Amino acid sequence: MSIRLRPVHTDAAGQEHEWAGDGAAVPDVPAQGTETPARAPDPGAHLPGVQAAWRRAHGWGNGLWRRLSPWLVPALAVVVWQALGSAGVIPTRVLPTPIAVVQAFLSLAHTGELWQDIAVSARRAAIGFAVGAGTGLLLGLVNGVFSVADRLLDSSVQMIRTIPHLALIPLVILWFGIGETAKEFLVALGAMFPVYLNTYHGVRGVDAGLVEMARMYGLTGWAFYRHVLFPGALPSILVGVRYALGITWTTLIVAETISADAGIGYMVMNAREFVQMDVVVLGIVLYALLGKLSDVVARLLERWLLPWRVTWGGDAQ
Amino acid sequence: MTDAAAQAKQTAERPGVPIALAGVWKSFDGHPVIQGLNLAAQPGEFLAIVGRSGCGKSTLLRLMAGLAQPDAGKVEVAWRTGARDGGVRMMFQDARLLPWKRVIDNVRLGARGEDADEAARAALAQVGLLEKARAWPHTLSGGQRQRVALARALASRPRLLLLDEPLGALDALTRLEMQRLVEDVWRAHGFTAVLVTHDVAEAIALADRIVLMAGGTIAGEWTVRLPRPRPRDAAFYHLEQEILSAIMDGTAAGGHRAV
Repeated sequence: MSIRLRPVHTDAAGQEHEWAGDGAAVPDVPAQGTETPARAPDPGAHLPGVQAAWRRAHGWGNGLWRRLSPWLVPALAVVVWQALGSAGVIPTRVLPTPIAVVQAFLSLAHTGELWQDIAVSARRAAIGFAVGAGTGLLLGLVNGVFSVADRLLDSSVQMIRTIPHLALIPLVILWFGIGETAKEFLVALGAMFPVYLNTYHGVRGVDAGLVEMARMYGLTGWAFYRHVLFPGALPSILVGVRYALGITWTTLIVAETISADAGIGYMVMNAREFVQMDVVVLGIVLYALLGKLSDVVARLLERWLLPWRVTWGGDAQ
Repeated sequence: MTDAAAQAKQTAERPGVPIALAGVWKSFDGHPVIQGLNLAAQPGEFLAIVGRSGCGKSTLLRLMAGLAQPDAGKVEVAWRTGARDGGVRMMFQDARLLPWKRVIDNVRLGARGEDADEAARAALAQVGLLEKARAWPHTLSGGQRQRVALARALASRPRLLLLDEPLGALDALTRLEMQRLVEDVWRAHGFTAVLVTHDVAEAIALADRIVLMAGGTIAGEWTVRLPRPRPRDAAFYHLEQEILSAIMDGTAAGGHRAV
């Protein structure tokens, strides 16, 4: 497995950083995964090294400016949006103003409805993700390690993977009805494959030289998995986890819009029937924030689990 | 004193194990690499194997390590008949440290038993890198990484140390330092050492005996009796020229010379 340096530009303000090493894993992730990791505005991501160097040379890259600059464009957009709404250029029936969305948030938060809907959605996301990612991890480890399992299972998994999981909605409704299980199943199905693929490639991509060394030093069985195989595959596994988290929220949005009696999706659909545009927009913003939040959690997980990799980024800065 | 106790005492004093290869053949994809090779090493001996690239010397080392099996013939290393984790250790061309473990934990991989922590620290101290115990491998230089790899090999008190050009990628100065270090630990521990190298000077600096591999078998042999540590004097230089020209000829005199 090659170890790549993170791009030069990484700071606390929530940029994407594409340090994850296993190049082979990324193209295999289902297409819907590529658009999900961060839905919140994210300017300043992937700054080329030259640009970052220029900024440093001109004293841009430090202090308050560096922290605030990623939020400048979104803040400006909100201000313009509010101004256009207040001036009546954008009719509030088409798009409510940011202040109206905040007011909707406050009133729903006050009644407690909002928190209940968020809790229901978060629970669906958590259960679906845990089941899906857990299954993907297990399958990936087993197929990566045991060639017999690989021969038996991999082509089947690959076939199922190519089916867009949202296309299964009619079938899932027939199987599970419209209850919680149906939504959790869809989320699990969506979250499983990115984790599976990246785990599999992570295991297969562990440096053969290290494996040979481990054999030579008498590491077998559990000790071999614990000291060599799993840590070696972990960076790739975490890439899968990040993709899976993105897919989790995408899937949930669709699943909750089809049939639900609670959750953010229900809140949005309900508001649409009563033409409460401010609540509709609030729901969309909530999805964006929750998606971003899980991405931040995933990145913290990476920092915590891969201190030896984070130091690479530290060196590059 | 019982036989077992006597044996244990002897083992403690002379931890090196003998190696014997007899009529060994090994081929890859029908292409013979080792052809009926015979070679033996005494307990505690420092043996160097030199030869051109692709002459099969690394394959020979892998056979000794048990990483490969011969197609025919016998590879006998005494440790295999003894304890299960019988202290054969290998240093590779690259250090092969686990990047996700700190230096001390990498060294600890080589240690066994209750005093593993202590053994790891002692080994690290021996290669002079105790202050780097908590460092990540990627923060070390190439030479430091190989010293950690050496410490990892030493942590289990090896009885046979196989060295597959471990100094090949180091700069000239670091290389000389590492040669000195390898010689020191070999003399301190008394294990049997087998070094594969294409650097004839390195072989002369370290080895009791140098064998030349060509055509899949032993094509020449030199016993080196120069005093240690070996100064690069006229005798050293003369021997180096002799072995180099033997390598270039491909077919050496085949005889055995003591210098």
